[in-house]
Amino acid sequence: MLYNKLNLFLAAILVIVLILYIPVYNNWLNSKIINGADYNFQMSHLAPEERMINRFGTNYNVYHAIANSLKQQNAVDPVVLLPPRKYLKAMKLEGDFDVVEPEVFYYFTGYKSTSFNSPMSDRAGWALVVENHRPGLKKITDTAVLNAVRNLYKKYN
Amino acid sequence: MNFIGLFYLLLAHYFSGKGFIRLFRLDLKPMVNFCLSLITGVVLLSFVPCILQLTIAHNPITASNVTIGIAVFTAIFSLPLFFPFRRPQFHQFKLPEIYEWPFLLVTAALVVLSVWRCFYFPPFARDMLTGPELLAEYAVRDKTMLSSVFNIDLGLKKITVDGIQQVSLAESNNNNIFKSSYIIGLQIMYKLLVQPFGQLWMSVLYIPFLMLVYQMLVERIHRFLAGLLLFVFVITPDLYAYSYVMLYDYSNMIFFFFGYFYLIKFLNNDKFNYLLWSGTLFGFATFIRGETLILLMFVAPLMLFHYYKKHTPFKTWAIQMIVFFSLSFVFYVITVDVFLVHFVPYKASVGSLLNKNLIDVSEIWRRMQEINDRLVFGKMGEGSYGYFIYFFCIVVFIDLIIRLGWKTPLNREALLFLYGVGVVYFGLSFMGYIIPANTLENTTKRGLFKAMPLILFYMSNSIILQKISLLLSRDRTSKPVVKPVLRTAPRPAPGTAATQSRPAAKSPAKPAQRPPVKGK
Repeated sequence: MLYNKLNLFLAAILVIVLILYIPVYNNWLNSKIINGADYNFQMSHLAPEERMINRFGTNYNVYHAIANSLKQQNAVDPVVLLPPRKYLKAMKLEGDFDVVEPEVFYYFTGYKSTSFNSPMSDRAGWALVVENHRPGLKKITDTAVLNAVRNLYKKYN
Repeated sequence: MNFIGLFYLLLAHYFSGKGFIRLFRLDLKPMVNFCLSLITGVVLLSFVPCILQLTIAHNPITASNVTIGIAVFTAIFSLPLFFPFRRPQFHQFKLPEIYEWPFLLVTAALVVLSVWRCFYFPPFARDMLTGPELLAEYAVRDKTMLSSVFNIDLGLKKITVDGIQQVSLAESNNNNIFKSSYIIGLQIMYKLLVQPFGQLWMSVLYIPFLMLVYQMLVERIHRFLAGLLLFVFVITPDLYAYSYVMLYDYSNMIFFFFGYFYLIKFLNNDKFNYLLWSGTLFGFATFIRGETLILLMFVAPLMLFHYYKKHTPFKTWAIQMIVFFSLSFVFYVITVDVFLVHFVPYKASVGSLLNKNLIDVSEIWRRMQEINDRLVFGKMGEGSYGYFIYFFCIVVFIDLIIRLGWKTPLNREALLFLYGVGVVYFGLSFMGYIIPANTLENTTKRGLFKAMPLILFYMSNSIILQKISLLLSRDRTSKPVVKPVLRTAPRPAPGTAATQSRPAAKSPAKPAQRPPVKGK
C-alpha cells in the first residue's frame, strides 16, 4: 500500500512545499505573489484612474497634473518639450518621477510632446522643467526661449 | 467591467474557433476541442477590427460596429458546424483523484491571480505603450486605426532607399508601431466591449491552454506526475508573469507549441488534414510574431527525414511541404503587406535590421554561448525560468544513462519533442545572427518560452518519468496510466489497474507477437 491515494496526496503537498522552498521559487513567491500587491487596497480602488495610478505611480500623477494644467490654460494643440533623464537626476527631483517617451506621454495625457533633439521640437510651446525640486511647465514664448531650454537640456544629454 | 460583453466575446471565440477547427475534420476529444476552439477563436477574432478598418468609410470603429462585425465573422466561421460530422464521444466526467488536488488547487489559485492582474492593471510593458496598446487606445478614441497617434513624435528615423522614404527600424527609437495587428485588434474589441484596459483575452488563452496541457499530460503519464509537471510549468516565473503582462510572446508560444504538437500527430498518422492544421497553427504563430518563419526553416529537416523514411513519392512530399510552409508565409504576408500597408502610414525598411556581414557565421556560435551562459545556466535564466531548464537537463541526463546502461529506448514522441526544443534553441541563435537587433535580454529570453511546453512534453515522455509513472500505476488504488508509451514497459499482470486502463476498443487486440529472431 506504499502508493495509496493518501500517501500520494501527502507526497503532493510535500513536493509543492519543497519546490516552493527552493530559493528562486521562494523569492518569486514572496516578492511577486504574496507581497507583490495589496489585494485589499486593489479591491477597494477599482476605478480605471485609480488602477492607472496604482500601476504607474508618481509618473502618472505628475503627467496627469501637467495635462490638467494645459487644459486650464486652454492651450491649443500644445507640444511639450521633454528633457533628458539626466537633467531630472541633476535637479534632484523629489519622488520617483521619470521622463517618459512622447508616445507614453500621449497615452497618459492625450497631448503631444517631443524629445528636445527631435525635429519636432521646433513646434514646442511648453517645456517640462524642474523648479524647487518639483516638475512644472514653462511656456515657450519665442525662439530665443526655445533655444535656451534646448541648450539647457543638451548639457545633460 | 461589462460581463455581458465578455460573455458575448467568449461565445464568439468558441463558435468561430469550433467552426474553423471543423473545417480540418480532426479527431479531437470534446475537452481538447473545447479548449482549442477558444484558443483559435481568439486569434480569428483579432482580424475583425482590421476588416472594419478596411471598410472604414462605412464602418468606423465603434462598439456597435465591432459587435456586429464579431457577429458576422462568427456566423461565417460557424457555418461548418451545420454540416454533419461524426459526433464526439463524451466520456463520463470524473473528478480528479485526491492526490491531484494539491497541484490543481495551487495552480488554480495562481490562475485566479493571473486573471485578476489581467483585469486590474493597465498594460505596462514599454513595447506595448509605445506601440499596439497606444494604437488600440487611440483607435477606440478616434474611431479609426489610422489615428492621431501617427501625428505625434514617434521617434522614427526616416531614410531614403531607392528614392522612397522609409523608416529605418534599426535607427528609430521605436519600431513597435510596425508590429502585428494581433494585439491591436484584440485590445480594440476588449476595450470597447469589456473594460477600458482590455487584456482579458490573455486569460481566455491562458486558462484553456493550461487545461489542454494538463489533459494531454494525463494521457501520457500518471496523474500525480502530470500534476507535478503542470505545477512546475506554471510557477516558472517569467512564464507566469507573461500570462498577465501583455506582449506577443506568450500567444506566440501557445500557437507554436500546438503547431508542433499537431505536426507530431501528422508524423505519426500521415493524415494530410493534421498537416494542414499544424501549418495553420504555425501560420497563426507567424502572424503574431513574424520571426517564427525563421524557426520553421528548422522544422523542414524533420519533415524531409520523415518522408525519406516512409519512401514518400517526391510529388506528394513536395506538395505537402509547399502547402505547409506557404500557410505561414501567407500569414506573414498578411502582417507585412496588408496590415502595415493599410494601417501604418509609414514604410518600414526591414533591411536595416538585417546582419550586413552574413559571411561571419561565428555570430551564431557566439549567440549560442550567450544563451547557454546567461539564459540557460546563468542568473538571468534562473530569474526567468526558475529551475525548469535544470529539471529538464537532469531528466535528459538520467534518460541518457538509462538509455546507454540498460539499452532502454526513448519513445518516438520524446525524441520529436527533443527535436522541437532544438528547433527553438538553434533557431533563436540563428535569428540572433540574421537580426542582431534581437537582444538576448528581451527577444531571445522571451523567444525561449516556445521551448518550455516542448520541454514539458519531453519530460512527460522521458524514460525515467515513464518508469515512475508505471510504478505508480501498479498500485490498485491509484489512477493508472492511460497510454503507456515506454516500449520496454513490462507487461502488467492481468487484472491490474494498468491493463484495465486501456481503452475498451483496443482491448480485443491480438496478443503481441514477437518477430522471428534471425538465425534461429
